[in-house]
Amino acid sequence: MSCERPSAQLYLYLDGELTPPEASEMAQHLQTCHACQAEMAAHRRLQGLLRTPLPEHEVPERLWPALHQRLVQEALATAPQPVRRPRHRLWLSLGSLAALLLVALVVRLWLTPTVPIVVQEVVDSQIRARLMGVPYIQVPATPDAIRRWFDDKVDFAVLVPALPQAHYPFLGARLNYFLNRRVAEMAYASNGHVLSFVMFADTGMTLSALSPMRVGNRTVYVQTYKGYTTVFWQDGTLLCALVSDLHLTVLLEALQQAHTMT
Amino acid sequence: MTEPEHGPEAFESAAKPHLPLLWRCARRLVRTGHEAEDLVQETCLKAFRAWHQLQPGTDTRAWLVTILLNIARDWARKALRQPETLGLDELTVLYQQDTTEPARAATPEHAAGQAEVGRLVRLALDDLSPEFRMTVLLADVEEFAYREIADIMGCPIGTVMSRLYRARHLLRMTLQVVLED
Repeated sequence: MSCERPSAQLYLYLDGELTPPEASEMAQHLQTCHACQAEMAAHRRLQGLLRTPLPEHEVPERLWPALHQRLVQEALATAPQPVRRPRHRLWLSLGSLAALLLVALVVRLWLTPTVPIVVQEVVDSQIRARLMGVPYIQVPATPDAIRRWFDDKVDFAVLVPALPQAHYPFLGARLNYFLNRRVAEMAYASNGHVLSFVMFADTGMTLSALSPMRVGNRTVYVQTYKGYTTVFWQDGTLLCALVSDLHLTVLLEALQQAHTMT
Repeated sequence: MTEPEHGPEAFESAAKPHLPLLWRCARRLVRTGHEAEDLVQETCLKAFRAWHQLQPGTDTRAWLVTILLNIARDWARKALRQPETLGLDELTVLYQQDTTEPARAATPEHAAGQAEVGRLVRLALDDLSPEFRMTVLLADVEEFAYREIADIMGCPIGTVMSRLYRARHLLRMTLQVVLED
């Protein structure tokens, strides 16, 4: 005795999971199919067994009163206190004050302009070199000689500032390294101070965080940091900077004089 | 302030009709009556804490069973991590159950002689994994729809159907002597 219908369909019917038309169709089938009738009877017997009341299924009488007590305790424990004592208000005030101070600190930090990392590195490298006494290499003060000296040290063509030797004696050249880049440095003296031209291949560096300024036909970006003044500009694929502890006007004047960089 | 409709009285009037259901589920999920009492109480406390978040129209019956099942699962996980040390009395009970009540091996005569159909059914159910046991009980005893069982168990409807098929098949094999009696 068997039925070609999948038994899953019979169980969907018995569990009330068929749509009304499907259920009606299955009910008709059941009137004539002995295999499905037997299967249904067996299933009903199993259901009857599973529904057999057992003494252990009687809810213990003590359960509900115990539960009621715990619910009341829970409600009392979570109810808000109606009266606040002055001490609580004091703590609240101190808490509010601390919160306000924190907000003020955050706002101050937020409003303080952040110094771009490139400015920090340019200035810090100058300070490091000075503290460690890193010397400038004496190179003939001609553009050709300076470029040749850098030829096997950096992977870009160094631009040499055309500064008049009389006013800006050439102090020497130096290879530096920061921001994962080889950096070319050329130092000139001015009134007992050092003017450093630094340059490196610009790969994705951005100066947009700095304020732009026009000097001649060049857009430069000025930023002071740790007592140093830096003037940045872009020259083709190179990022150039003039850095010194001299006043900005001196730097801008030198930059104008060095407008031809060869 | 606790809203009056969120107080214990409102919760009790909504939950109390389902206490027998919760109790039956608890008795089938844990070993002893004391554990079942703890499980039902924990379920109701947890439900009471979340009572104010219950969306209108939610089926309270299914919601309570879901909470109960989740707590039972947590307990089972913790028990796995920290196996309970059994006392001498519990070991004796377990030993007696293990040696004197083999549901599968019972002959029709033995089953009839014992006249303890309920106990055999309980043993057969205990033989199933908790997921199979709860699925078949929610469907065949508590008459939840597939969709509701899937929500309660946190599984797809297809999984409910396959668990139901397997559980019914296993129960019919295990209880064959009683069913044919």
